[in-house]
Amino acid sequence: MGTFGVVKRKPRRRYLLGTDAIIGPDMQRDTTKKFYLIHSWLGIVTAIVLFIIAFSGAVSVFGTPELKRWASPALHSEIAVDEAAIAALTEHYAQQVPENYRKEIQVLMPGAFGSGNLHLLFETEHGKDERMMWFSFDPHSLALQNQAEGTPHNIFDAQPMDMEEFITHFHADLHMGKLGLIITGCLGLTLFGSVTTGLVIHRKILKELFIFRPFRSLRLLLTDSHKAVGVWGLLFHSMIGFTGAFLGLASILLLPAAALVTFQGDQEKLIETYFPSREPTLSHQPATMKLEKVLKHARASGAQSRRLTIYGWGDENAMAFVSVFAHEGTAPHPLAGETFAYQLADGEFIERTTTYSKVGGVSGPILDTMFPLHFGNFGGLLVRVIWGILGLTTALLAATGAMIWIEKRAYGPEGKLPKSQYLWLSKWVIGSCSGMVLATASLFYWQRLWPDVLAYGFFSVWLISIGFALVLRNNYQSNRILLGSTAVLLMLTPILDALCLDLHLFNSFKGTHTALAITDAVLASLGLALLGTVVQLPTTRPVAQHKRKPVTPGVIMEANS
Amino acid sequence: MTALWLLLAIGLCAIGMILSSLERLSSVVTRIVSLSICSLLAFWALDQHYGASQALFTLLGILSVAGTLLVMLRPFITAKKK
Repeated sequence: MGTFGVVKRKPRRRYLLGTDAIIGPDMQRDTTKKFYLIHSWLGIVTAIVLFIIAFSGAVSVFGTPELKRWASPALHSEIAVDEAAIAALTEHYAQQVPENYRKEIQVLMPGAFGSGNLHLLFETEHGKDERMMWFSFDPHSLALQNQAEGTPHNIFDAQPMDMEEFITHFHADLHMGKLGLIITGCLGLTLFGSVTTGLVIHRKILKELFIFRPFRSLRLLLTDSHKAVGVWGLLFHSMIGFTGAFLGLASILLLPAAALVTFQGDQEKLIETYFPSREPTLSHQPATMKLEKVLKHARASGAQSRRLTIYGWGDENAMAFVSVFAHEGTAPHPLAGETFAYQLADGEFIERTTTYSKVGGVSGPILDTMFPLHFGNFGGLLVRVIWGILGLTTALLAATGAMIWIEKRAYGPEGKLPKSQYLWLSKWVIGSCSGMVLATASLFYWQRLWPDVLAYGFFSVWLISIGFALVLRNNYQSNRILLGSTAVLLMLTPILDALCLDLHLFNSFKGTHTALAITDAVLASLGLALLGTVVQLPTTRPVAQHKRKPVTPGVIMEANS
Repeated sequence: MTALWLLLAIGLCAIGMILSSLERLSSVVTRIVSLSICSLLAFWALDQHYGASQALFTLLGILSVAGTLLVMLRPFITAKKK
């Protein structure tokens, strides 16, 4: 029985290569059933976490520059990066700090693509006793705003986190450190597994490409949405699962495993062999540093510079490395973030490398594409928008999958537990998923009104949403209220900005802060579209759609007694 | 100029999608052929701005989004017409 009714077909025989085994229609049906079971149980166990990771990923695609710029008022107007001033500032502070702090100098570039403010980091020898001096400057005037001295760990922990950093880190490791990385990596693997098993059980994939019946019943709406979103985004979901698994597990499991296999567990040796070396051999001959020339050359390449790392400051053999984002257009490494290497004494460009360029062969470029492909930061705004939409479809895939599982068991023949228990699970799914969406929308308000408690605010809204969904009896209504609240929050973002900032959407005619005005307008439009969708959602399950479970003789006996 | 190439590519993908979803083109093969031709043209347009590998991934992304939107919005559009 397929989507189009009963399909009559001759029993097919398939011959397994290398064996004499014959797969008949019964065996094929059994195999499909097994895959269906794996698909449905894998889906329901991971659905909520997968939704959370996919949704936060779809938002974090716009982390830099859109959210970064929105979060920081200093970035609302365009920043003119002055290479000469940055070079002079770096030189000035390099002379001020003690000599042992010049082992490694990092310049984090200002702007929405970089770190917001200009940051200068002066570090001692890496190791247990490593110390750091940190200076932060206004991105426009380059006036000193903040400074600190201590261990790198303490300095980075003391930095306030804006909404861009919060949501990006939440997507990467759920703010749980190494354990979070393992969880997200494993979720990537389960997503890949779900896509593969889904492909096996939906054999009429080409016909399902164009089927969507939203007006017949809730179950058909859910299953058709699940299939349409799954089939059209098949390559994307597979890619996101695979690259997500790699990025999550690479540093925690894959690197130690590779070191164990090739270098008897010596990770340092593996890194030395397969990653570009950086630290130069010092000549102890003093030389003038041509930093301005380096920065200007990096800018002329057309790529966005993120950070500049300097080794051996003041020495004739000093080296500078500029890390840039993967950028649009033809480049030697079109789908990878690159590092430009320079001889700092004369400012001459040496080479451009990628993280895995030393690995070479086919695997080097493939490994290099993992990060840009996962985050869609290789092709400008168009690719980010596409990746954002497709990321939302991955989240929708998880949510609709969970709802189908519950629907089939609460109102169909597959459920073995009382209906109330499945509806309880449904409340959890609604609270966690729609609550996550609401909590993410609330981040804009926490960022503007009370940035110090951004993380607490996010988790409070989320927990309250889950509690609200569990308490309210009508699941349909709780879903509508949570999504409706999200829509209202998004629609009111321009007004929030108008109340809190000097520059906002309603005075964007000045032309000084167009990017902020566009972001506000897009958020308000998204809110309006979401509100339009929420209004269409049912307030209760239509009675006509209630399918009774088949009554077994045992149940009849119990009822009679 | 960049925006024009990108818009052309998006337009070609949209045309390909609409052609391949037309009920008059009953054969699956006809649908796939029309979609493939438009996709090739869209790839050419994207290749004018991006490198080949970037263009390929962008094209796959555009096709996925266009297909999902087309399939999910079509019933609402046709229901309004009726």
